[in-house]
Amino acid sequence: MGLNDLTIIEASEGLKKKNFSARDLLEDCYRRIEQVDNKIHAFLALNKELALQQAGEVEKILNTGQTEKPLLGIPVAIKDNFNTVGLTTTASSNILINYQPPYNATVVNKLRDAGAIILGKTNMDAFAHGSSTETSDFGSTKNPWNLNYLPGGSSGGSAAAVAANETIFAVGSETAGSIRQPAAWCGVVGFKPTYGRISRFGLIAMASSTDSPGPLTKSVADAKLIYKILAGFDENDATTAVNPVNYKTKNIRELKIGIPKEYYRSETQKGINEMVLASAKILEKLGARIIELSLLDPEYAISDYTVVQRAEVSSNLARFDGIRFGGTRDNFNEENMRRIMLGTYTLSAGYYDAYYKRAQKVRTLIVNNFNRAWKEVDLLLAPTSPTVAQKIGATKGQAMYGEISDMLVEPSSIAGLPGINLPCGFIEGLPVGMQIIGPQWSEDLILYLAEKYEDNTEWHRRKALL
Amino acid sequence: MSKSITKLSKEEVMHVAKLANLPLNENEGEKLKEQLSATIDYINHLAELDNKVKSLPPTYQVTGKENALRDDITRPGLTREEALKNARRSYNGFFVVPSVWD
Repeated sequence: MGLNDLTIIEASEGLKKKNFSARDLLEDCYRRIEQVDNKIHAFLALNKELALQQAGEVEKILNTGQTEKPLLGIPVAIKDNFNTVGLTTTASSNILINYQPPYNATVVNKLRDAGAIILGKTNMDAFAHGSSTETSDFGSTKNPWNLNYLPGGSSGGSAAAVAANETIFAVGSETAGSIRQPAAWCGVVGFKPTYGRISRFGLIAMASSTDSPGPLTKSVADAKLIYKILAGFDENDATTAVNPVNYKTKNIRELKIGIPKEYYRSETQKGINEMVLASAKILEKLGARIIELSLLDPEYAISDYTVVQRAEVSSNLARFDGIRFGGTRDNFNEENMRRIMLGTYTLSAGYYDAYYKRAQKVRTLIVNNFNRAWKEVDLLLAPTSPTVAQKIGATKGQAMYGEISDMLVEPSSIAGLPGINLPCGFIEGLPVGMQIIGPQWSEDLILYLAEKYEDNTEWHRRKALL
Repeated sequence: MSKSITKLSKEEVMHVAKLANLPLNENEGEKLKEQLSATIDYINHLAELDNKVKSLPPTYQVTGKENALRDDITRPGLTREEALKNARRSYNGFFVVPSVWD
């Protein structure tokens, strides 16, 4: 076992107790990357030279005993759509192949201020347009549990890097499923907070009205630690919340957990619904009340999200004019073009009311539908993905592949709700994930329940053999 | 996906490509015509909800934040050098843009 296997909390403790140095920790991560990343392809770029230099500085700080920085010396892998000064930022697209950001994303600044060391940048679907990493212009990432399978996406590189113990933790971004779904397929914890909880400044935009950064980690406690560091108002992102009223936490004995029957679908891969319901039983034994309820069919969210997201994509990617930065527009790939084209069509003269405006009204319907559920229950529990990881090549030529595989995470994304993926079982050696969804600003409550679940199960301890 | 009812014409596809400033060749246009028609068919089922949503307001900002403006005070931004460093072409400290007039 190398130091790269550790969680954030374990690694921090080891550093403080001087069981090992920041350099040892970093070198173990790079050694692991050298050993396995030619098979997994989680990373697009490494930051080795600067990282080792930073580890030296960390040693000096540790020797003075000033260890108030919560992530001092902890290696992190960052999805390649977060701007990093000094490290090429491509969003896995040829159009940004040489892009050197002139400023850091707020998420990156916060991690660095907390003492984290950036290992490198991780692969993703190009511009986050996908749920598999197969739309990356630099080749897809492989699932560490079985190299013939996809890691999910779009934050597939970040999820795979954590699952393969190439890093201590990673950050990703989710527009609708891009943290939770790859976390499910790779068997790690993935947390998407409420929209506006974590700043989007310096995150290359996909759909600005739902984009949400968040952590991918080996444990719930780690996810909580990173979430607390990243959350907060940022004057550079006007949509970040100033002082949101946090949802009250409760003891598990007072918690009502909803099982929305429309999320346990008959077409879901056999075994997944059963495993999530078995997890509900565990929570029930711990004292929670499990309540079956009915929600709007998530199938409507697919269309709704497709309209909203494609429209925002076409608008956001309009700025790629090949003049101020990036290459020319013929560098967009097929999936990028499909999305830009659909969005341009639905926003064009005569179609706005029929598509974008109608979709935003349906969004209100989805929001109201969840608000009704919160009158009955505190949180919802459901499968994260209708399948385990799919085989490499599964997405080729499928215009709506991502949306259908993200069906169970799209309604909560459209409504801006927080949600977490937790490993809850395996089917033929591939991880199964379940999600806990809560009302806006209920992160503390979600993390509380997630930690209770993790404390009483062992799924998160299983590691991919490579 | 089943055979689409919506049929975008090749001309419509090329018009959208022009609006989107995307250089499409004939082949790509033909392929996109089929794919876009199929996706539009799919999203058209949102109309099934029209009765339920007709009296609802649209949600553009999901946490309800409105008019989030900062004070109108100038502050430092990127330097000229930083702003230009990713440009494919610059001249005398300016971006070089394609000519607008033929």
